Amino acid sequence: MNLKIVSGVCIAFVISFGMLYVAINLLDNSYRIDYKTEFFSDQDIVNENKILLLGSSHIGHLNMSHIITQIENKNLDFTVYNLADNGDSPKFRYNDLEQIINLEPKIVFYGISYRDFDQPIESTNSKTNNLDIRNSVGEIIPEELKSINPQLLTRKVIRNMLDDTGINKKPTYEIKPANTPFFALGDIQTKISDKNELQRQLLIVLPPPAKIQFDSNNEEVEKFYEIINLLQDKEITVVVFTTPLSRAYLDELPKSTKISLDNILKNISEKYDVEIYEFEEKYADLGIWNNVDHIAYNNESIIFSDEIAEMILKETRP
Amino acid sequence: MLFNSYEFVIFFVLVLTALAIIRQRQFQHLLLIAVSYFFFYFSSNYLLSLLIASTILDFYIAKEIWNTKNIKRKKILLSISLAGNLGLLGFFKYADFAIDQFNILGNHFDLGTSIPLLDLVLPIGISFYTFQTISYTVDVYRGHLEPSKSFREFALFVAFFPQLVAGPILRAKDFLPQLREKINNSNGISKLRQITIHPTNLKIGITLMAFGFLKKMFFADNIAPMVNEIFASPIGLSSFEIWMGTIAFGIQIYGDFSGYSDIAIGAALILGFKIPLNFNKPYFATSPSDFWRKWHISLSSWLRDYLYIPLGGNKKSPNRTYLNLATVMLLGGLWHGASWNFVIWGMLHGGYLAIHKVVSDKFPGLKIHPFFKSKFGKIISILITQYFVFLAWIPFRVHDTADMWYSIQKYVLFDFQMSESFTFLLEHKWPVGLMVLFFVLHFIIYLRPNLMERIKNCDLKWWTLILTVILLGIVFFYNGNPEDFIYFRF
Repeated sequence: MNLKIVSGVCIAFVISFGMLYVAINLLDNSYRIDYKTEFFSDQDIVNENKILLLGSSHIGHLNMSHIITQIENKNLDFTVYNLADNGDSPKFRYNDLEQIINLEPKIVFYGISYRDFDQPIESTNSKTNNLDIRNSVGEIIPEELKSINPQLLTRKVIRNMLDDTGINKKPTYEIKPANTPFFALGDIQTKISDKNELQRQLLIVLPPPAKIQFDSNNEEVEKFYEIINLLQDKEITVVVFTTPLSRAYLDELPKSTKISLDNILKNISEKYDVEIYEFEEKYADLGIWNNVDHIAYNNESIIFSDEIAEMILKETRP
Repeated sequence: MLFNSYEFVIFFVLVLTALAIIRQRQFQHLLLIAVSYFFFYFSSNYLLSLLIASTILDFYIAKEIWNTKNIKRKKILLSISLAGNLGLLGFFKYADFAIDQFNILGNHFDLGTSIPLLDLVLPIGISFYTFQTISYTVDVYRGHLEPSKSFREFALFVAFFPQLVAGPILRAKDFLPQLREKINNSNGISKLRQITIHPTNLKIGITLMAFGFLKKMFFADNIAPMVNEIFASPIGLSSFEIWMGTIAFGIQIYGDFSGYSDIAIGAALILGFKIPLNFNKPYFATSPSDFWRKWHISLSSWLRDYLYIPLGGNKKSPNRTYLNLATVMLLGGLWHGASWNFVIWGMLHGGYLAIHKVVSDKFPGLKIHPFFKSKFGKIISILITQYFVFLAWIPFRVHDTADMWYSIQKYVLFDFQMSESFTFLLEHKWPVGLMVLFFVLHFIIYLRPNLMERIKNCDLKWWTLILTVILLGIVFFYNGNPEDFIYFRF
């Protein structure tokens, strides 16, 4: 009888985890739109002189129309594209690197922040600390299994199903900034949050600032160096800038994390001779924040786009 | 080690396999002690020594109490045990709180006191296992229980891993006899029972564990982000949002704690041990005293037997009874953590119980009044009781004093600022949907109290299907960020 019950449990496990496996590997891909291929294969873009902005949604909130106007006013012969992508990090960006290089941009401006290098310190240390029994047990379980978040996929599937029936009110991301092919914004990103709201949002930021930990040996940092190296090998100038953060966010960051980023910036400046611009604390106390780590996409917050345009102009001066 | 982790699944399967291989009863017990200590070490490292120290202290003291005829000596021995256990609990749990209060008081009177905090790590489960060992020694002192002759058995009672870190709080009189249960073999010869995995226990145990995981990982963990968001900075929020946050927290803590208890009870049952029920549909309680008969039953019955009754219970004057109720609940609140918000939570519940007792004593006819016997009357009783129960969850959850008072104010004095409520619901439709689902399921279980019995008796095919559905719910809605069980902190 026990054997039958155990068989029942095994069947339940196989069905549920099997369905999860199928869902992750098949369904998830079906929802992925290959929106990038179109851009990278556009011959008009390939043939023009261009400058690229890379980074996560922090860069996606730039007012590109304003930046393009500033550049046009100076009669410079190149086009600026903002390749910001949601949830971007050096590891993800690395997948597009070949196509980015094929575009032959003049300069790549790479916006980074702490979240780009978020990789729990435990996972980088666990390999060296074999004496701790907890780490040894933890190593049995594959990293991929530890880091999956099936709920996001499930909710996406439910949302898509409801969209088809018209029951679900789909959030609209109708604001498509100029020359920003991989990123769109909704009305919600245009709103400015007050201090209380920012405090409240600290808990819903992924990853939460207080938990961001990394050292200079983590995989994201290594990929970041590799990206810079490969771009420079192809004679593409790389400029790095840190993206702005609110005071609420900065106050939550561990001191060691701040030191880690400083070390990375120092390293790329010395080793790769990369120009660095720091925006991290520049607007921390201004009332221009949509949430703790994103500047609102509206005219009140134009200062960020203004200074990015200035940075581009400075770097493109002959 | 979290129950909701891959580590625990591997650990538990290995323990079951080892128990099935080892047939000898004593070695099975030794194995269970060893794995329980491993389980504890996994979470708390060297603090395991405190658990062992507490076990040794109470095993020998209880023996001495039983053997001595001298009442005075019995009392001294009991005092040593209490001092040892409560000293341990007090030092690790309340030392920093006491120092902090002393410093605040000193500064208030310009004495310039600034004793540095000890920054002690709270040993996981200390509140639970010290209460277990105290109840053992007190029961032996009272003559209600013969002390265990075997250190092995007593050590297993204290460290039994399914309930080690967050209860239910076991009583020796319930657990120890299970280790010495005699069974007749096929030849009619009785012998002490070895640990066997019985099909019925396995089936119910797995079902209970599955429900526990569902409560924790499907409901509690997915509702938690909304609660965190609301109570991170509640000042400025409307009554509607505070109400939503409070109700969500009530569901979160129930799903979290009763889920843990279900997993513990289920795991123990698979190993052949019966652990008492810890929750019995508390959100359908019709009065404060009814609530405490249904919520964290092992703690409330412990407080009743080892604190309320020794204080005089309801055998003395009415005023003394009210005072006893308030005192017990205040200490019960403090048991949860060294913080004023838990004291307030305890005081509120103490107040509820005392007021309920006053009303019951003054108007004895109310209990048997036809209105309160009717369905409608019962619903009203439930709603009123839960209004106050959920009000008390605010100080339990919100630690900042200004935030807490603001939230309480908004909860009690509803502001009817409903303009943003639809947007709020739209923005939080996922956790709100889960809350609705929770209440629907909770209501179905309330209407069908023998659900577990039905599942136990159902055909294996259907049982597998139910288990698959539960697992699908857990697996597909797992948010990739397992949260600690709230009661691990206590």
